[in-house]
Amino acid sequence: MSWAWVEVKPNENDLLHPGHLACQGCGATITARLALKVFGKNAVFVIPASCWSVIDGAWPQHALQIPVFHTAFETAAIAATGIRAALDMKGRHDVHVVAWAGDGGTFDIGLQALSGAAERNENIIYITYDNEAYMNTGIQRSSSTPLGAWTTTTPDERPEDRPKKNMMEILAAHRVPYAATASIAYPDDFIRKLKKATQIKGFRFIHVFSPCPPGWKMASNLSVRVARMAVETKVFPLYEIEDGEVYTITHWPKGLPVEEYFKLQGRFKPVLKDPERLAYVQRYIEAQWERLVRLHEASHGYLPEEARATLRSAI
Amino acid sequence: MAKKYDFRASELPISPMTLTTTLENPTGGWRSFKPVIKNKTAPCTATCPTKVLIPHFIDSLVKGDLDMAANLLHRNNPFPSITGRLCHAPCELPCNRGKYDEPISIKQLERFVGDYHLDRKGKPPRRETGKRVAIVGGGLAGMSAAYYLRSKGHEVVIYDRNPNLGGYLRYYVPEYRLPLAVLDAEVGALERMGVKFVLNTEVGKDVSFDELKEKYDAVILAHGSSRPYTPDFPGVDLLRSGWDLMKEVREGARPKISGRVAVLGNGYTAFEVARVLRRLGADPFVVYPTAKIRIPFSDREIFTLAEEEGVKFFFAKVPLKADRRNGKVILTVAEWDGKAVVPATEHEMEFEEVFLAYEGTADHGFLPDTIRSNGTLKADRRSGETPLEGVFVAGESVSGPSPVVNVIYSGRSVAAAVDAYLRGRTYTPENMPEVVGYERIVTDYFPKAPRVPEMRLSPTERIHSLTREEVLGYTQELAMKEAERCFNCGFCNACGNCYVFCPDYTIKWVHGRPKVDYEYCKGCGVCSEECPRGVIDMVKERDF
Ligand SMILES: Cc1cc2nc3c(=O)[nH]c(=O)nc-3n(C[C@H](O)[C@H](O)[C@H](O)COP(=O)(O)OP(=O)(O)OC[C@H]3O[C@@H](n4cnc5c(N)ncnc54)[C@H](O)[C@@H]3O)c2cc1C
Ligand SMILES: Cc1ncc(C[n+]2csc(CCOP(=O)(O)OP(=O)(O)O)c2C)c(N)n1
Ligand code: SF4
Ligand code: SF4
Ligand code: SF4
Ligand SMILES: [Mg+2]
Repeated sequence: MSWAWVEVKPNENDLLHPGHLACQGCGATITARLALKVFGKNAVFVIPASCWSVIDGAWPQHALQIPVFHTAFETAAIAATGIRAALDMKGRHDVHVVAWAGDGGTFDIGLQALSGAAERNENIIYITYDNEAYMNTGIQRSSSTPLGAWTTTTPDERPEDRPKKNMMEILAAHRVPYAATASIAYPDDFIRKLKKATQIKGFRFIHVFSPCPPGWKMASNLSVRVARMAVETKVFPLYEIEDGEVYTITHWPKGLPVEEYFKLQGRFKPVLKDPERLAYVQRYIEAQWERLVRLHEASHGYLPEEARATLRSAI
Repeated sequence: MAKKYDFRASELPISPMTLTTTLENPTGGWRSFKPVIKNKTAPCTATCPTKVLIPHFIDSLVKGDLDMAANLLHRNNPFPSITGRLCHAPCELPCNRGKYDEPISIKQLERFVGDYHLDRKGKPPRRETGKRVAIVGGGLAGMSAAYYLRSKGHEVVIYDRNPNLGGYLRYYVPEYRLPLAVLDAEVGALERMGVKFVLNTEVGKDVSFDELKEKYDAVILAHGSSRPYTPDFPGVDLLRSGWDLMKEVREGARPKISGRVAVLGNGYTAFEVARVLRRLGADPFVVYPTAKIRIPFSDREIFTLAEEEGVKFFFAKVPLKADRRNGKVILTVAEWDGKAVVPATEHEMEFEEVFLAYEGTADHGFLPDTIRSNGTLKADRRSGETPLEGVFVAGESVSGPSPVVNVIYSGRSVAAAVDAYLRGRTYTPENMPEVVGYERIVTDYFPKAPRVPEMRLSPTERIHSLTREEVLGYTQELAMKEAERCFNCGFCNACGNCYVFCPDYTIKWVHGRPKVDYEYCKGCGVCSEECPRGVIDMVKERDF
């Protein structure tokens, strides 16, 4: 092995300056670094209230070497729509307008604006960097917080008891041309999806798994490892949906037990201590995975060899 | 205060806008641990007696730069085509990949790169130092020392009593293990480097040791340990020499020997003599003094090959007496418990012929008493320095029978000591940086892949030829495939992970290598965690 990445090129579009204000090991900054590698200078980011409003720097400093429009919490999709319209009027069809929002701003408060833009098939790219809670205000649960997780509003005594909201299916229901999940631990996969998205016109949605060391109660060096484990335990599958119909799993996981992912983080301590709850979570993950695999099968008419090993008939 | 911004009202932006970048925040101040990029030692290299830079040369191989691979390989091993065939490969035992699926086939990769380079090597040094070194004995030890001393620009003259260089390798190791063409190519490379050979010249007879000492700035004694050893029991003179047999066969003779024959010996030479006898058409039995499990690791490969070919063994037995009756040799043997003969275990066995194949001993007769003490030489183990100024010892002459790789290392380390001596410097033995254990390898980055098998002739094919090489080398395609399995433990191969994953973009990519920008690095440790091969350490800078 030498240079390990097919899609990531060294010293090309390094448009995130150091000195930004993210915590040590912040996954959301890796997400932005990789995204900018594809967009280059020709993009505008629209950032609603979130960690990223802070990461980019306090006035008059700015880490992203592209124009950024800071906007109100619930308005990422609609503000991006407006900027798109303005740029189109000026003839700047080449510029990518990117709504760049957290999970709170996407799954919860920004959902109405997002749904509207998706339904109208606005020509924007919506990226949600998902750290599975309201991190910037101190780790409150969002509808993206996964089953069994601790947050300050779902404390250890009663951890999150609802499953993570399935945003991808909400987007699929809007029949948008492209929706994909991605992870910072799989840069080639993420970049391929970004490239694909930039070549499509209309509403494009990418949901990027972006670990948060303080919010997930883990050491800062584990960000990428934990993201990798989320994928390999089937907790966060990598796939895409075209036109709301065609499901394609882009990485077949090893199918490790969910503990492998949980044990790296303090936020899952209560589940790890409770075998019954852990078994329940594992069953839930298997069921979700099986469902996704069947959607892939229905879309393509067959399953690749790697798929079989990931299915546990126990469910 | 940073810059002063001086706008006229009409020039002010209509909404607040950023004017500078976050480069004004030196976030390095947040750090309590700092990442340090530093190559370490791979367990394979640490175990290799001559410390071949294994992950280094394999990396160049993967990148398709065969010349660089050869260059890195030759840093610590001048004769990879020889070790690639004869070495017992202790490096493969602790290979980290072995803990994941199967160890890397290091020996085969070494052979592939060695053979690629065989006709290309042999450049004279760029500068001559004017210093002169004599080497007594042009076996592997002398050749190894000559290679490194000549590369350093010294004039090197090898004296050997034989008509050609190579010692054991030329006269006793069979063609099916090491083709003469390979040895000749290695000797040819030394010649092209400008090493001089004085052949058919025995030191102590044709030229005296004192004369060499007088004429040269340094002398290396690498005269091996090839004086045949003959055990002492009644009738031993009725037995034949396995050594002579090996020599005859290497020179092309094919004596007719058939029926049950025995080989007496105490090392792998006995196994090798038995294998040659098998190929000549005989049914050989090895009478071996220790138990099977006591066969040293370095001899196991040859033992296994012999066993596959139908050589039979009597373990833990010693000969007591030999007789010749009706044209047969009657050998009396007894069990041996490691120290003494076990009483009442004596019995007779009948053979057509019996061959002696004991390991040789060193003959130091031509040397002054000052550096001898009861049969061995007084010398430092690593530097080979003796009590006589400017006189050094290398190879089997000091170590006794040893595997090729140890002999190569001896020649190399003694060459370093001689070079230091000639330059008036003190010799410091090389020290290896910390070894990278399996726990530092991020195996997620390596798909499981079986070891590319080496292609070996079947036992039946093997016993039908005394010249056909028994192990075939990898093709380039297979070599590349195997090389790609290597983790490159502790050696930065510029995979880019640290650069790709640094959340702060403080690992810069400079001239194809990672470099930390400490002014901004926050010390998160992601780079260290994601380096697949343990190159980046987090070093504590301050308390929290
Ligand atoms: C049959 C056989 C098979 C082997 N197979 C293997 C194997 O598979 N793997 C492995 O690792 N090792 C093997 N070995 C061991 C290997 O050959 C030795 O480790 C190595 O060759 C020793 O090198 P040397 O230079 O120390 O000694 P030698 O090869 O003995 O060289 C000494 C040289 O000094 C010369 N010389 C001696 N005295 C004088 C003098 N007074 N004046 C001038 N010249 C002199 C001799 O002519 C000879 O050329 C094998 C050995 C034998 C015999
Ligand atoms: C209308 C409104 N309500 C609340 C806030 C306070 N607020 C700022 S950021 C934030 C959390 C954002 O969470 P998320 O979108 O998940 O992004 P993250 O901070 O986790 O990156 C909240 C609640 C606000 N800015 N505006
Ligand atoms: S994987 Fe490569 S570098 Fe690591 S021990 Fe094995 S051969 Fe050596
Ligand atoms: S990943 Fe970047 S910020 Fe983190 S320790 Fe390494 S160089 Fe520093
Ligand atoms: S991650 Fe790759 S490029 Fe970085 S130090 Fe390790 S081997 Fe070198
Ligand atoms: Mg969030």
